[in-house]
Amino acid sequence: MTGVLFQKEWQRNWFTFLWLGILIWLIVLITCYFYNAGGTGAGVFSGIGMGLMILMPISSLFLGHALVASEFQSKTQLFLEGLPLPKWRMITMKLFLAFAATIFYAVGCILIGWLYAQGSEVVTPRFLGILLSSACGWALFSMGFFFVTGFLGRYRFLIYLLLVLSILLLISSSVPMSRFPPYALIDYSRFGLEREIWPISNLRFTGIFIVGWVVAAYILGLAKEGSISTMLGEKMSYREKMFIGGAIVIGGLAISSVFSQPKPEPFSLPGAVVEEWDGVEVAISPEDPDPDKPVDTEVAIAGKLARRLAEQRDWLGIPPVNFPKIFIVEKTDIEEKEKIDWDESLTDNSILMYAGYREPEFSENRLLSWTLSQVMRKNSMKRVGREHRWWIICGLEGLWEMEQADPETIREREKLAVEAVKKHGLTLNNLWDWSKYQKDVEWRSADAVAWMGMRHLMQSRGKDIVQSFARRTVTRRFTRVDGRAVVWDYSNPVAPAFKAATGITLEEYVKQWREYILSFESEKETKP
Amino acid sequence: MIRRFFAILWKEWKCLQPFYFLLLALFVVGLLVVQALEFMDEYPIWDALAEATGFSVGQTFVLCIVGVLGLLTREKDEGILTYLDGLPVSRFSMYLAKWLLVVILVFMLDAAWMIEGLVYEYLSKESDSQPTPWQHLGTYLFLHTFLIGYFVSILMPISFLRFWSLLVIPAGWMILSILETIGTPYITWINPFALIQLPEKIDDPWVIPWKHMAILSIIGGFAWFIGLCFYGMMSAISGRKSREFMQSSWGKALTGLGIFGGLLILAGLFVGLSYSMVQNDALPLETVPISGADLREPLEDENAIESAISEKFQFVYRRKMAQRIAPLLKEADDIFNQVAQFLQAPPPATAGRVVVDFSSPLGSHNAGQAYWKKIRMSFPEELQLAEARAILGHEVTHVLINNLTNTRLEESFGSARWFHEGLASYVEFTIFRGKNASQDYDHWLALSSTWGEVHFEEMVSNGLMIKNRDPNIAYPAGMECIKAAIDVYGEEFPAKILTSIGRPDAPRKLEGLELWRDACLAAGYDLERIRGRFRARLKDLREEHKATCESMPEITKGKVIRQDGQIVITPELPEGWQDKAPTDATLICRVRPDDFAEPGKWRYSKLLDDNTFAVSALDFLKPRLSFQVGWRNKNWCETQPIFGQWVEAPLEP
Repeated sequence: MTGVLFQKEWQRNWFTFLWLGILIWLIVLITCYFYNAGGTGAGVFSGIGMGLMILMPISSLFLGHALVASEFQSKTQLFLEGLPLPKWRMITMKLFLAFAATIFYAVGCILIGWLYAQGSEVVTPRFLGILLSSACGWALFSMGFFFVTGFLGRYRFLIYLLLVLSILLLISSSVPMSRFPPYALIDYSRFGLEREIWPISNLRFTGIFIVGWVVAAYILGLAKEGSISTMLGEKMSYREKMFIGGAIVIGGLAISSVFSQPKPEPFSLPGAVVEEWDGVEVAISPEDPDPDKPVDTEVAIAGKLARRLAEQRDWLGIPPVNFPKIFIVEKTDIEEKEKIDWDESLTDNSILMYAGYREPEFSENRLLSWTLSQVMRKNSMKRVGREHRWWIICGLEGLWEMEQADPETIREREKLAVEAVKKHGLTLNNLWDWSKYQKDVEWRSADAVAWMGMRHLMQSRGKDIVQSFARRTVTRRFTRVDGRAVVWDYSNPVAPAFKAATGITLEEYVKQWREYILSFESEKETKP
Repeated sequence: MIRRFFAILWKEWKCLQPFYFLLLALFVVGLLVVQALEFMDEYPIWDALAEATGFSVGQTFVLCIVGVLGLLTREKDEGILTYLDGLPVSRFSMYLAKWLLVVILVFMLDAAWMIEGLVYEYLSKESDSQPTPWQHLGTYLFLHTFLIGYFVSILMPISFLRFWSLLVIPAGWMILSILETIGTPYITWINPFALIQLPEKIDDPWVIPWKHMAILSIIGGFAWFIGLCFYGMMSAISGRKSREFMQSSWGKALTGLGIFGGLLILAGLFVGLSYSMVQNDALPLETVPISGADLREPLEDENAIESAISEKFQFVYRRKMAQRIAPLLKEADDIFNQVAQFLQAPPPATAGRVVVDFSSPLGSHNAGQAYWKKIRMSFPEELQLAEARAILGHEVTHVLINNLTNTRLEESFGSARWFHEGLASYVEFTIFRGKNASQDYDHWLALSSTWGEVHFEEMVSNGLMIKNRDPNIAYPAGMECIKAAIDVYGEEFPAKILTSIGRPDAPRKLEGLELWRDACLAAGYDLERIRGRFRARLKDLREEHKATCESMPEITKGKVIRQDGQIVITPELPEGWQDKAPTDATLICRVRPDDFAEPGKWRYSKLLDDNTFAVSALDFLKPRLSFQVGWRNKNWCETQPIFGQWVEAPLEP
């Protein structure tokens, strides 16, 4: 009877067996040729590994369909169940054929590689054994999986889609897929290159999987008529395919959107001078790596900066727990005349500034103000960098920088603002189009204009009003890139926030601001 | 007749309801994904398109597959075709209606995404934003729609294979990829995935690839016609004999064989035809190989494979090489141990043998290649023992880096190439070559960094390096960076950083600066200090080689024309450049069809008498290309020319 069963399966599926074999070996042969001819790969077996990784699941899918799923779809299993024959024998025969065919393909692939690699590889029995065991392990795993899912009929495509999405997700995540069995057996970076160490652990785990598939296949296959396999075995309608396909893709996308967020990683500067004040930590690292060199300059800058940052943090109302760590690295070749630069690539709550703090042009006040503006950018996921809010930051920067500046620097800055306003004016639209204004008047002059606006606001209405305005517009914390920040931005526009904080409209204030700046021009004219 | 056509169109529309609900669901999900992952007011449409063009074409292809599969055969399977044949509607109308509807539905999804993108574009506008590139968007939509039509036309005849089409489609795609990989001439013109190539910058003109479209139209039209013929011949109720035959294994085998045979024959015809069109004798130019290639020769006795084993290696070589390589084989274990000692490799990392393959062909630009426990190395007759020792030392370093980090750096190869090559070069020069042997590297780096500062941020992104400048700067710049790290932290740096990268609890697949910050922090090092020292070393190098650098200016401009089957590049050379240049120095140029072209597709030319460069136009079918001019000097960059930045230029007619 076993012979009859074999004959039945063979007659029904010989074409699939043969055709798949020809195709797989043809593709492997072509792959071998190109891997060798290009001279850039690790050898023919490396190419075969890649081929097996893709071709074995595809061939198993077809075999699973031909041996199992199509039997249920065409309802021929009902006839078979009517025969005086135990079901387990039919399943065993199908399993045997499936496993035999897939091993035949895998071994064939390796033998093709062996023949092809005659001119470039020494194939020792051990090496051949490692290759064959890895290839067969992978092939049997694939076959077992697709054999079992063949019993699930219409819903197997759902499982395949889920599987593909999960693999894509894992590959794109930080999970090292290539280290897990059974995938590790045909990992492209090792397959065909490991000649001495048997992949025992990977084979053992793969073996457990295969046994699991076999058991599952018997459980599903031996279930009585009217069981889950028969019910599921029917063909899926077009509507079902689209609905389930869509649902899976959508589910997968939704899950991947949750997983794709970057992971923060703690940053530090080992060996740097660290000063702390009221929860604000400032670390400074000198460029000279000599550990014996005195670090008085670094200690002084870090200490002062930490104190002033803590003051401004409280003034802005940023909770100490949210305030980032500040790292400053000495850099002597900064081209900008301010001698300050920064790095925005840190993903955790840290700020990395570069400063040529021994250069004559360097200003500690400027380092403070620029560090604070970086803090606010970080705090808002760079949302304050949008131009309709950026002028506020520029103004605040100026306030912080000029707070302890010498009169000469203040006069120079005032002069810059006067010249900018004289030449390009200042209107409400300039605030909304701040980037263009910065380009037109040069950013340093634009900063000076913004600073004078804030200074005038502080002088005319008090520091508390400036604080209230800043807290309403630029201190909001965002921790994720998503639509919520945009919604907040649109529901908290700057102009009404200004009116709420100061009591006058922004338009009205801009007129006062312009006149205030221009009044310094007349002062200059009257005081030659 | 029109009314009848609309009636059948309406019927198809109703039939495809699940498909357009799927498309609608995808659109809604896309919408939600943007809300969940982006600031939609910082999402200009051009940036979004540039980021997702390849993905978008692939996605369109998949949607076309989903739409087309079952479209033509379902009616027969469900027995509706008999009814339809009874209506006064031709098979042509039915086929056209189906084609049209799938094209329209997929187009509608594209159009909806475009409108969504335009809304984000509007929200993202700032005063200094680029104007909305309406013309480019129109071109993009036009080309995309063309592709939808093409994909549907191609897929419709394939869909008659039912389940087997799931095998035929990937097989066709694979054949196309292979032809592309081996650089088959004219292959680009039959590759639909290469049709949409956005201009480099938003304000660059986008030349519509009419020729490419014409060729695809012919292929698509032919496929459309074949599909129509199949559909026309498809009987509502198959005759008993034909049905039996088609359902028999022989019938299936013959159909499959026909399709695959057809695909292979078409591919073969294409390859043969395209190669026959290459007129090699028309090219008066020499292609400049960096070093000699050891090409596969027919197996004869002297070419028979032999192998030898030492404690650390298994060598594979041809019989004729035996005498030549014997001295190296004797020293090989010593070379391995020296490298292992320098890297402080513990016994598990040095266990087992490394295979060294001298026998198989190697890319022309390579002296050696290293993989997991395997090295491929060429050993031409002129290779001196000292040189071979250095190459083997270099490659052994790669192998040990892989072992010590448990191949972790392979997961982030683009960010780690500088380290791999830098450390291997450092070992090569400090242990296996004499003093001052790295002078050539110093010159190279001095010149390159004079032309444009070599930033560490660039080094940790190989893609950026390939796109903008010579990717081989990874060798001298990497070595300089390793030297900088050793300056700061001593000779222990390589061993400690490798241990740190390979630590079991290290985060996986980190990229760019993150990877190196993490590795340095875990080893207790400050990356910023290393970067600072690296900058200082570059500055010193520039100072040291100032005179040389001034005599060899970077060439960054030039005109490109297509002329008599050649691409002719006329570089803008500085006045009196020949007088200032060192004796024996000459210019060389390499050209690539696009930013993503593999080095194998780059074509080289020396400077011709009329101060132009010329390469065969065969591989340059697009209206733009990039070229890179470099210097060759017999004294120190004979085998490794030094190239400046890539210059993208339009092909002037």
